[in-house]
Amino acid sequence: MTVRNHFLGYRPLVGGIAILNPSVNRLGTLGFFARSADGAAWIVSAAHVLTVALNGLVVDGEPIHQPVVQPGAAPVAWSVAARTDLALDVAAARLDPAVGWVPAVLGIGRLEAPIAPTVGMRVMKSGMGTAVTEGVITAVAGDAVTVKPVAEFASGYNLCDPGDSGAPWIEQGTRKLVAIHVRGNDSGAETAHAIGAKAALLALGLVPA
Amino acid sequence: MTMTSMQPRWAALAALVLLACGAPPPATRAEPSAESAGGETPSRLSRRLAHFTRYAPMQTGLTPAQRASIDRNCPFGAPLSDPAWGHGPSQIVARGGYALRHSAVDLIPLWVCEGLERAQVDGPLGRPETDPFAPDPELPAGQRAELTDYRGSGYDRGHMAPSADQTVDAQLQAETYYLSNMAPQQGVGFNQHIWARLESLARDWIREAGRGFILTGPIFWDPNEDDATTADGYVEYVTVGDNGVAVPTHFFKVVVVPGEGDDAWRAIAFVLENRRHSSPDRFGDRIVSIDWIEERTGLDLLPELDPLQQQTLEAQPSPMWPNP
Repeated sequence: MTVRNHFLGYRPLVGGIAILNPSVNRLGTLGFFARSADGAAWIVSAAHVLTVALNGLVVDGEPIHQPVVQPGAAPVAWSVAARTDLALDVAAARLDPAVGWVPAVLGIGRLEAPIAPTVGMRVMKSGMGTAVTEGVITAVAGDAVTVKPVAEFASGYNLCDPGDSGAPWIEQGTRKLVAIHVRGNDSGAETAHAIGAKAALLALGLVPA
Repeated sequence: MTMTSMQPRWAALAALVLLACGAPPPATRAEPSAESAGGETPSRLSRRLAHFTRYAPMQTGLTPAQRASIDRNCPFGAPLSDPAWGHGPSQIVARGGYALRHSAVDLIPLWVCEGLERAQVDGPLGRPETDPFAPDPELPAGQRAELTDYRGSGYDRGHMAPSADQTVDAQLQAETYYLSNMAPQQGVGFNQHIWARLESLARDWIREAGRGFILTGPIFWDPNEDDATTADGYVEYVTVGDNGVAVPTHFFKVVVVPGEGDDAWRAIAFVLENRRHSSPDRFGDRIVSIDWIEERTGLDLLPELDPLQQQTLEAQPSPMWPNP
């Protein structure tokens, strides 16, 4: 499923919308915003959305577009190898200071400070592939978070699809950031795999915006 | 030698030869064991879907070009697979003239969408003079049908998005001949006759309306499964070729064209059994609702259609019959 609203161009930027590194040439999702110690603003997403790794080395300084490369439109951010963690599959790209953004997520609203994931937590995400969907955290193993559809939902409930990588998983009641979506499954029972947001920010040397 | 084998549907899903990721394993001939009867039966290394796996693919999405093709050819969104159905690994192939989802299990498309305008079907191009059929270069070998799979099978390479729908741009027409856009069809009495006339009928609706959208695809359906007293939970079908290209029992075709008013659409859906049909064509008997097809394919064919329109378009057979 692809929901067209998430594929539109947004200025100011918000979380949950389409982004593209032309070298990757696969659409992913802008997760959320963060800041570095020098006060610069960053977008956080999955590493495989924001960066290309050649022989294990991340290519530095690649342009990130929103939603895609368009004539006359400048990149909104630039990849930075030092802010990439291939093991966790999370990365940050430095925002162009001229590009406006708000700490909110499309279809969900303002994002609150991150919390640690716990089993049983009801969460929702907003992403390029399936827009806003809901789930429940069924496992937390170190930094890895597993989300599945709520048991009472219909058997065909679509939790995530290609294009959702980078989407923020958010606690439903508080809108607190919980995790970053990185993987799903093609067939079988719907499952989403994510990386805890706190762990991701720590690895990237960033703090929530 | 005919290369056709019969199997029940569920067995075929379990006997997946290739997963969506990774190269196919090489075919090998196992050493016969001491217990084997003479050691003369060759065995082949295969792969099947893991019923338990922690593997999960990365979830980057379509390329911008694929996305543009989907927007053009599937204006109501790319058809969705019901996750509970277990269609297996599949891949989007999106080109200028059509978008499809190709099954790595059955080696045929699950669905094919075309966005068409009158000029496209009324152009000067005829059928190519040289043999234009080819395996799809976008799909890895082992996860696609090859020309040899159809050779000697007794089945035609049946277009889902017809060549005759692309009569202006030679490149778009050539791309309809990739085997990813084909499924094995009975030749005489089906592909060369009633199916061809249905394709022509669909073009007539596009001509009349000026533009429209056509969705086509296979169905694996046994009418016995519609009756609790005869249902056994299986659909028998055959495969052809060394790669096991599945031969659908039926095919569907849905035509959607603009209706009255700015946002109104009209739709008509047909299902034809993949067998020799006798003349005259009785298309009126083969009209079904879109819901009927969705129930038997596990697909949501028009996922982004306005819910009210969905109710109107999908729940009942179309008022578009008889012919425009």
